[in-house]
Formats: sequence, structure tokens, C-alpha cells
Amino acid sequence: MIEAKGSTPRLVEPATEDELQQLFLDNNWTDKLPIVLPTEERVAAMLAHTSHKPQEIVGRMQPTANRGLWEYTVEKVAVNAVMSGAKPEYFPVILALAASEVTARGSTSSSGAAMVVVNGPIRHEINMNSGIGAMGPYNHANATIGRAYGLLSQNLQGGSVPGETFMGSQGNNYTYNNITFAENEERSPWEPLHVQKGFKPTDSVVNIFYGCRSTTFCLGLREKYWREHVKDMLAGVDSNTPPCLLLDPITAQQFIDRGGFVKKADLIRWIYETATMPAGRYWDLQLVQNYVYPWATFGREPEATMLKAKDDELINVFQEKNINVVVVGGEANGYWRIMGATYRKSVSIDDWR
Amino acid sequence: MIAPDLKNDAKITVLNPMGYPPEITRKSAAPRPESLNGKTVYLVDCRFDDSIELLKQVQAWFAEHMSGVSTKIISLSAYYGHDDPATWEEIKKNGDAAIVGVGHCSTCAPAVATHAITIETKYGVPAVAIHTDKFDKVVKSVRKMGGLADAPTVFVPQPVMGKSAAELRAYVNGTDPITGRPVMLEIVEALTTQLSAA
Repeated sequence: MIEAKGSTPRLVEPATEDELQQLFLDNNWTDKLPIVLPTEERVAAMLAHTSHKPQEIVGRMQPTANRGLWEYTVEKVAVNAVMSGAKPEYFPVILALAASEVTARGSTSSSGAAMVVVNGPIRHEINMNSGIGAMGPYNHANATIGRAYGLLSQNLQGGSVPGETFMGSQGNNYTYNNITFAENEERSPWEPLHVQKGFKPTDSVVNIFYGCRSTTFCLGLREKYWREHVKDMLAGVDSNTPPCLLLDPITAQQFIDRGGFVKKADLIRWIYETATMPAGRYWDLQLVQNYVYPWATFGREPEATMLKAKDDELINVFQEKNINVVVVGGEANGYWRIMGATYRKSVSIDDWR
Repeated sequence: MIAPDLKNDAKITVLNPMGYPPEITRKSAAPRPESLNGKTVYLVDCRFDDSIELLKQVQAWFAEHMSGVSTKIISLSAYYGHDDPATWEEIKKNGDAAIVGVGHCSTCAPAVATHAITIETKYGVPAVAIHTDKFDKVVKSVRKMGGLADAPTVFVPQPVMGKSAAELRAYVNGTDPITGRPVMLEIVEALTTQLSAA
């Protein structure tokens, strides 16, 4: 076990609850909503739900590359978990998020947000929601785990202060709880996301996406023009952030009924083949100029080959390996959406029990 | 605030939620020439938005006002977020100073600042970074973390993206919005005045 050297005080000067709420607010340690004050007793209760020692280093994080990696321990994660209002039994999930070293408070001027998909038995153990309202504020575990991820990111990376450590020009409301939900594995016709990422069905896993700036949405798949409708939706996802399909179980089944996508991989292949754009128009996008074109001229594939296409030649906007499909929702109707979200990492929750 | 009748004046102790900052390794700046006359200055384009368009105006300024200075625009070989040793080697081999720009987004400003520090401290070539004023606090933090807190930095107004050549020329001929001093005077001074850390 590696322990942190520690240059941040462990404790805050004693004060009344009122004064401490104000201090946390003034120090930019909160998301500007009231927090649960992290007393020794509350933090100890959180720590009791992991086998890991309080001073063990969990990871390092920074708002963007080149800002300097801040380090954090199990106890520091527990402090932020308490602040979010999370129950101690959620702590292994929160530790797994911290261990990802993927910040949920990225300082991109594009105002990105994280999205967290939880898979495996832990969903039921802590009563997470994957059904009606799963992506809304209707479940304590979904709500507080997502909030904890945001708070731990901003505090453990050294801050998320506008103009200094946060430069998102417009901000992103999703960052309040980072779209944290459980996948509806029981009603999905396909293998769950974590199995697709190499885990066993019985493993409990957090899967982290980042982006969540562009969303398109639809109701079901009509028999005559469903292919064209989906193509139109894909055109609404920004070209630098691959699509993650968030499908209510009703729509997941419709993709099988309409398109014959018995395997999830078949649907992903079809999405890849459907999302096309004339090359000239694609390369003229500012995001593509900034983030894809430099790699193409550098010689990296497949970007270098894509660059050889004539202006009116159709090219695939997204790489197949970057497209994802998640089933979530309670079958109140066949509504579904496409989130522009880049898959970043999956982390075992079981390793942090 | 808590209602007066519910107020609890008992003092309690709570834990600090902040992580542990990284240790900083201080670095030394490269020695400067007394003058840029007869020297070759590389203008390094980070390839974010229209950075190169602003650098073209810096190049035009040198041609008009300091014709004894040879300038060469070079674009990073890939995405700005990656280190570019081949480009730094070329600058070291064929150049006497470097101007890196433009830092005008939340990820490219730290990258531009870091590249300038790398050129300066690892390759021994005097460098100055150009950023837009929105990122002054970001750049200050990156320079400190990068071990060269006083790394030369000059600011122009935001935005650079989509501005005409005339508008960018006005930026270059104008004043630094942070310091109020002429942009090109600051750039030339940055490349010819020894830094205290050197």
C-alpha cells in the first residue's frame, strides 16, 4: 500500500454547523447546494464499507492535461462521499469512480459532463434505479453517487472554479449528478455494457463516459423510414463525440424487430455504416479541424486514409469501436435518445469493497 | 441559513475535502540573446481554431518592423495535447527563439504554456507563449505547476477564432489586455531579457 505524503490539512478549524456550511460554500468545496458536513463519525461510517485502509492512495486527477495531478486517499474520497449525502453502502461504487482517475469536472471550454452506467449485482444491493426515471432525481443511490463523483472530482483534483480551474464557457447542468444510473440488464435483449467491456455478468462495474453536450431523441422506430430517421438523429450528434444510444427496452426490441439486430454488435455496425457525411463537409467542421485533422496529417489511421477521400465522397463520421449502446428505462413508452458521449473507462466495484 | 430557533452554536470538527497537490520541480529558463537581429524565430502553431492566422500577423509585424529577424511558421505535427520532440529538435537546430500560440481554450492554453516551458527548459531555446486574456489565471497556474512560474507570456484579446486578418493585425499591433503594454514590445522583450530564474 502506498500512502499519501499529505500537504493538505486533514481537519478544518472547529466551527458551528452554520459557519462550516458557509466556509465550504466560500471555499468552492461544494456544488453550491447544501452538503452533509463530513464529521469524523460520518467519515468513519463510510470507511467501514471498504476493506481498503484510509490512507491508501486511490488515484490522481486534474481538470485537464498539464494542470498538475493531485493525489487522493480512501479517506479523502470518503469525505466527499459524506458531503454528497451518500449512504455508506454506496462507498465501493464511489471509490471505483475515484479510482478511474477520470474527472467529472473537466475544464473543457466545451462544457462536457460525465455519464456513469452501473452494471452487475451492486445495482440491486444498493437499490439503484434502471427503470422509470432512472436518469432523473428519483433514486437516492443514483442521485448521491453521481453527486459524490462530481464533488470528489472538483475537490480531489485541486478545484473547479470558473476562470481558474473550470473554463466551460456555458457550463453543463448534467454535471450536478453526472447522469448516473443503472443499466436495465434484466429487460435488455443484449449483453450488458460491462460484459461488452470484458467483465463477467456477475461483476459489479462502473462505466464512465464523457461529453454529453449533444442529445437527439425520438419515439420508437417507424416501419417505413426508421433508417432515415436514425440517420437524421446521428447528424445531430457532434462529429467529434461518438454516439451512445440510450434505449428504453421497448426501443431495444424494436431495433431487433425492424433491423434484425439480434446481436448488439450488429446494431453498432449499422450505426457506424449509417453515420456518414461528405468528406469536404466533415473536414470543414471546426471540432474536426482541431481534434481529428492534426492526427490525419500526422499519419494516424484511420484518419489519414479518410483524408484521401474526395470532397463529395461519403465517409464514416465515427469509428465503429467508439459507438456504444445502453438499455435504460421503464417501458412507459419507446422513447430513446442518442447522447454524444465518449467511453472513457470501466472500473471494478468489487475491487473496492 | 438555519432558522434562529433551530440554530446550533456548538462547534464541531469536520474533515477537509481537498486532495494533495503535486510537488513542483523548479526549472531554469534559457539564456537570451541581447537582440533578435540576425536571429531566426520560430512561430509555433498549436493548430487550435485559427491560431496560425494570428501567427501570420506576428510574422508580418516582424517583416515590417524588424526585417533583420528571420521568422518561420511551423505547425505542431499532431494534436496540440501531445508532446512534439521532432518539432522541438528542429527549433533547437535551426532557430534562436520560439513564439508558441495561441492558447485560447481550456485544454490548449495549458498545452501551449507547457510546450513553451519544454522548449525553454529542455531544449534551451528562449520561448514566449501567446494566449488570449480569458486564460490568464489558467496559464498562471500551469506555469507554476510546470516549474517556471515566470515563463514569458503575452496576451491578446479573446476571441481569435473567425476574426479577419485586419482584426488579428489590430490584436498584434495593439496592447496586451492584461498588462496594457504593446503586444509586440512584450514579445521582443520576452525573448531578449534574461529571466531571473535563468
